[in-house]
Amino acid sequence: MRSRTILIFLLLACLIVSCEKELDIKNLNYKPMIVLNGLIYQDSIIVINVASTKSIIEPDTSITFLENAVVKLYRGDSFMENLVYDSLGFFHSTHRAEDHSEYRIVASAEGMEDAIASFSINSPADFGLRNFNSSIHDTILHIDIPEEADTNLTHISLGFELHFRDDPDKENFYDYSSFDSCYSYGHMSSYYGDSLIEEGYRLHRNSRVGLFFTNQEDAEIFGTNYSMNNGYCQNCFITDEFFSGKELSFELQANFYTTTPDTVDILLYSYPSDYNKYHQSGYRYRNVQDNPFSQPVNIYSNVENGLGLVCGVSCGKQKIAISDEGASLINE
Amino acid sequence: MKKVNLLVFILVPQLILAQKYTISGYIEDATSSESLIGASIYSTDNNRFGATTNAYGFYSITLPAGAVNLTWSYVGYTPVNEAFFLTKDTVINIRLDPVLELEEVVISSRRDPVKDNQMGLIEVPLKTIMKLPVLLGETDIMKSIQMLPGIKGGVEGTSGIYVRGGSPDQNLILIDGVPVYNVNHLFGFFSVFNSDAISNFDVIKGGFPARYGGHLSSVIDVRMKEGNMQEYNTSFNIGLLSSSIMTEGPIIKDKCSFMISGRRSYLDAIAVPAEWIYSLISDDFDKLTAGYFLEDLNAKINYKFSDRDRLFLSFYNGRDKLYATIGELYTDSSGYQEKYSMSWGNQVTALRWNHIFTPRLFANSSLTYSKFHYNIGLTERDMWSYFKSENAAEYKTSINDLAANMDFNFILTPSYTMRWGISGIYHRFNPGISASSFSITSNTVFDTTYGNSLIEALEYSAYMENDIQLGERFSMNIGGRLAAFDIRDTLFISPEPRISFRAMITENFSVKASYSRMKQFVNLLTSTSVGFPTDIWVPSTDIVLPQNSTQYSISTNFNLKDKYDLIIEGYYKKMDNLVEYKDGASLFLNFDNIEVKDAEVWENKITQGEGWSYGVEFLLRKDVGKLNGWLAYTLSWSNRRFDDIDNGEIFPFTYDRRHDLALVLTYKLNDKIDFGLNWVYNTGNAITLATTNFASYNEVNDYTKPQITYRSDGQGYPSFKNYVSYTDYYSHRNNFRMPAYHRLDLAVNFTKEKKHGTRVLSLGLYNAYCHLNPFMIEVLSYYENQEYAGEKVFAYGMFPIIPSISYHFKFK
Repeated sequence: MRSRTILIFLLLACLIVSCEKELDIKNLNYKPMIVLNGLIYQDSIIVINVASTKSIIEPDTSITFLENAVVKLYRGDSFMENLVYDSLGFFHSTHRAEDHSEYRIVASAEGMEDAIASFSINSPADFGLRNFNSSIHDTILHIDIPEEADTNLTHISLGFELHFRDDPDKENFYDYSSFDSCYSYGHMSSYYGDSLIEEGYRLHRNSRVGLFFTNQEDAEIFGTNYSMNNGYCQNCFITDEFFSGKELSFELQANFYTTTPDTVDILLYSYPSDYNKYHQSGYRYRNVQDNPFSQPVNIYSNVENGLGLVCGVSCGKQKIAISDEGASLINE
Repeated sequence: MKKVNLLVFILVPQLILAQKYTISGYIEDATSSESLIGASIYSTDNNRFGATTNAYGFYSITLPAGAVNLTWSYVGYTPVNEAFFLTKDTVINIRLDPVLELEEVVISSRRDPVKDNQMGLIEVPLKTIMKLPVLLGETDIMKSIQMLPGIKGGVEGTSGIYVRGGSPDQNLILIDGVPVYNVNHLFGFFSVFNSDAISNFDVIKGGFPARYGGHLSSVIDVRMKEGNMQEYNTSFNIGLLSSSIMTEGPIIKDKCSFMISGRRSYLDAIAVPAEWIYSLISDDFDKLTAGYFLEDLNAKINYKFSDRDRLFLSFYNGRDKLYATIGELYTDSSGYQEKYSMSWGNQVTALRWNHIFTPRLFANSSLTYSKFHYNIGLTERDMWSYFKSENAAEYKTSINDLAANMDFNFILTPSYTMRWGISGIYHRFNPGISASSFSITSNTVFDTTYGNSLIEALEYSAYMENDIQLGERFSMNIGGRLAAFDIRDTLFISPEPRISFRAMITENFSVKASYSRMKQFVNLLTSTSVGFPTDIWVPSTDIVLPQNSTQYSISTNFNLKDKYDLIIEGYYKKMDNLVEYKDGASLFLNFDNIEVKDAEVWENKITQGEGWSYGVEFLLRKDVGKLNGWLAYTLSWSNRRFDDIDNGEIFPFTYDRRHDLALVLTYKLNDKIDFGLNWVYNTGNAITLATTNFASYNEVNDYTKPQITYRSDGQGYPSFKNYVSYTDYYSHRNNFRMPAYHRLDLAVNFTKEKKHGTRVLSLGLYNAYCHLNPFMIEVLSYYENQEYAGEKVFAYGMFPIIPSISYHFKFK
C-alpha cells in the first residue's frame, strides 16, 4: 500500500513538472548593416535614403537614420560628389542622373561595413496611346473637400489602347501609372489582364488600376481616410519574357469622376531586373507571413555589404486632355 | 584470344565444381518456424567453408564429396551439428531451439560486423528495443534507429530519420519488401511499425548492394512475423496512447500459418469528457465534437507447398484521422454546422513466392501494391440564415505503386554467390487536387475541381551482384543496377555501379570500403520538418530531374575480447538534383499568385540543387552480459546549395549537426527486473530565423503613394517615401543554431510469469531530468511592470518530463 502511494505521488509530481517553459535566447550573432534605398529617374536628382538595420530583439521601434553617414556618388570610376543630408535619412545630389551612365553609391557609417550600390538608367520606353473613346455622363458627384470649396465632379468614361515595342536586346520590366491633375475619384480597369494570361504572358498581378488623385495629403473623402499624394498607383507589372522584341498593346478603360477641364498623365516605367526581383520577393514576403507551411522569404537587395534597393528607372509619359467634349491626346 | 578467355571462363567453374555437392535448405526457429535470417552454416572440419541464410532463411553450401561435419548456428539458439557422408545434392531443413537459460545474457545481432561483407549495415535486436524507454510507452523501431551513428532524428519526439545528410524521402523503407511512403502516425510522433508484428529489421546507410535502389540515403528493411506454424500465440499491450493485440498460429500445422496484429489509439475516447464539459458551458452554436485516432492492421499468411515452394501473403493497413465538428444541425433545414477532417494512411500488400529451382538457385518473386493518401475536407452548412448555404472544400493527394519483382540467388561456389533480379513499378501520382463547391438554397453556385493532374510513370530496374570471397582474408561485392523511369514521354536511364570490399586484417579486425551510386525518381515535397501529411510525393519529370548521389565510405571493424564491437566508419556523400521549395513557395495554404498562369503547377514551386555530407561515425556495442547496449557518436557536416535560394550561396542543411551522441544501455538485474536507459546529446538544428530588421519601402503595396522627386522641367516622378513596417531579414537559410539538444530516458521493466503467460509491466520516464529542448522559437514582445520592455526570442519545448506506463502480456 505504501509503495503504491509513493508511486502515485511520483507520477503526480512528474505531471506537475510537465508544463511548458520558455527559454531566453540572447545571442543572435546580429551584425548591423547599412540600408540604402533609392529609385533614381533620368534627369532627376539622386535621392538615397540611408538607414541602419536593427536586431530583432532591439526594443526601439523607430528607424535609425544614419544622418552622419558619408554617402559618395561616383559615375564610372570618377568621384562626383558627397550627397547632402536632407531629413528623415534622405541624402540628395546636386547632379542630375543621366541616361546610360553607370553610377555607384558608397555609404560609410561608424561600426558598419561600407555599403555599395550600383545603378544605371535606360532610355524611357517609347509608347503611344490610340483608339480613344470617351463619354461624359450626366451624373454629378458632389464632394466636400476639407478646407476648400465644395466641388462637383463630372462622371467620365474613358477608353484607349496603350502600345509599345519592347527592346529585344534587354531584359525589360514595365509598369504604368496615371496621374490626374486635379481631384478625381474612380478607377481604371485594365482589361488586358486576363487576355494576356491566356496568351501566356507572365504578369505580376492581375489588378485594377486605381485612379484616385488629389493634391492633398490625408484628405477625408466619403468618410474614409486615404493617404494621398499626387499619385502613383501600383498596377500591373509586366516582364517581357514572352514578348521580347515585339509590340505589346492593351486596352484600358477608366471610369471616374473629376473636374473639367482636366489632364491625365499616363506613365510607362521601365525597370531593371533588380527591381523586378525586389518587387516579386516583396510580394512573396508578405504572402508567406501567415502561412506556417511556407519557406521564409528575404526581400531582394542589390546593395553590397548592406540591404535595400537602389536602381535606375526610366519613364515615358503621355498626356490626355479631358474636357466637356471628351478626351484627346496632347502632343507636347 | 577472346575465344580462349571465354572457354576458360565457362570451363573453370565446372572444373572447380567437379566432385562437389550442395547442401541447401531453410533454417527456422523450432518453436515458431520463423525463418532465421543470417544464421550460419559451416564445416566444422574446415572453417573455410561457410554460408549464411538469406533474407528468406534459405542457405546453400557446396562441399567436396565425402565425410562432412556441419554445424548450423544462430545466436541465442542451440547449434545443431551433424556428421554424414556427402554423395549427392542434399536438402536439409534445420530447426534451431532457442536457448532458454544462458549463463550470460546474449542479445546479439545476427551478423558479425567484423566478418560480414556488408558495410554500413546496422541491426538492432528487437529484444533490446523492447527494453528501452520510449515516449508514452509506445515502442517504436524508428526512434531506436535514430540513436544509431550517422542517423539523425528530426523534430523531437518524431519518427523522421535523416541518414548521412539525406532527406526523409531518401530512405527506402520496406515492409516485407514493399516500399512504405509515409511512416508517420500522429504527425510523426509515432511510426506505423507495430513492434508486435515485426520479426526483424536491418538498416543500411552505405555500401548499398545492387539489389536495393530508388532512394539515395538508406534502406530500412522491416520484416513482419511469418506466423507460428507450431502453436497459437497471443499477446497484447496496453499503453497510455494506444493498445495492440497480436495473435499467430498454424492454420495447418507445419504447412500454413497466420499472423494478425492490430493497434488503435484512444485519444478520441479521452476527448469525450472534454467535449461534454465544453458543451455544458457553451451555447448550442458552439457544440464541439473533436478527436483523433490512429489504427494499424498487419496480417500475414504463410503457406508451405513443399520444401521447394513457399507462398506469403502479407497486408498492412494504417490510418490516422483528425476530425472536428462545430455546431449542430437539428434538421436538414435548421442549424449551423462546420466539419473539418484530415485523414491519411498507407496500404501495403505483398504476394511473395519463394522457389528453389536447384539446391544452388533460389528465387523470390513478388507482386506488391503500396498506397499512401491523405485527404483534407471542410464543409460548412448554414441553415439558420435566410439563404441556406452549403460550402464544401476538399484536398486530396496520393501515390499508388503496383510492382512486380523477381530476384535470384545463385550460390555458384562457397566463395561465389551471384544475385540478379528485375523489377517493374507502375506509379500513379496525384500531387494534389482540390474540389470546392458552394450552393445557396439548394442551387449550386459553383462546383469545381482544380489543381494538378494525375501523373503516371513506369520504373524498371535490373541488377546483378557478385559476392566473391578472395582467399580467406578478402571478399568483395561487385555489381550494378540499371534503372529506367518513363514519364510523360521522357525516359531517364540510370546506370548505378556498386562496389564493396572487405579485408580481414586479423581474426578480430577488418577494414571495409565501398562505393555506391544511387538515383531517385520520386521526391517528397515537404515544407515542414514535422511529419505532416501535407508532404506530397511527386515524380521526377523533364523539369524536376531525378535526384542522385555518389557515396564513398570506409570502415574499420574491431571485435574486442569477444564482448565489444567497435566500428569506425567515414563517409563522403555528394548529392545532386535535390529538391526544395523555392523561397516562399508551399503547396499547401499557398495563395501566391505571382505567376498567375503557373501558380497551381507544383513543378514551378520547387528548385533543385546539390548537397554534400561527410563525417565519421563511431559505434561501440556490447551484446554480451547483463549490461549491454551501445555508444554511438557522429561527427558530421552537411551542406546544400540551390541556385534559387540565397543567390546560390551554400547553406547548412537543417539537420547539419556537428555532434551526435547516443548512449543506449539495458541492464538485466534478474529474471524479473531489467532496466533501460537512453541518453542523447546533439548539436542544435539549423533553422532560418530572421535576426535582423530593417525598414524597406512599401513599393510593392497596392496603395503606396511614394513621394515625388522633381526633375528639371518641374514634372514629378514617384520615388520611395513611405516605409513599410519593419521587414525581417536572415543572412542565409538555416542561419541560426538551436541550443544543443540533450535528454535522458529511463525505464524499468517488471517481468512476471503468470498462470496463463508472461506479463511485462514497463514504467518509463521520458526526459528524466526535464531539460526543455526547443521545438520552435519565436520573437515576442515582453513586458515588465505592465510596461513594454522590448523584444525577446523565446524557445518552446514540447516534451518536459513525461512518465509512461505500459502493460504487455503474452499468453502461454
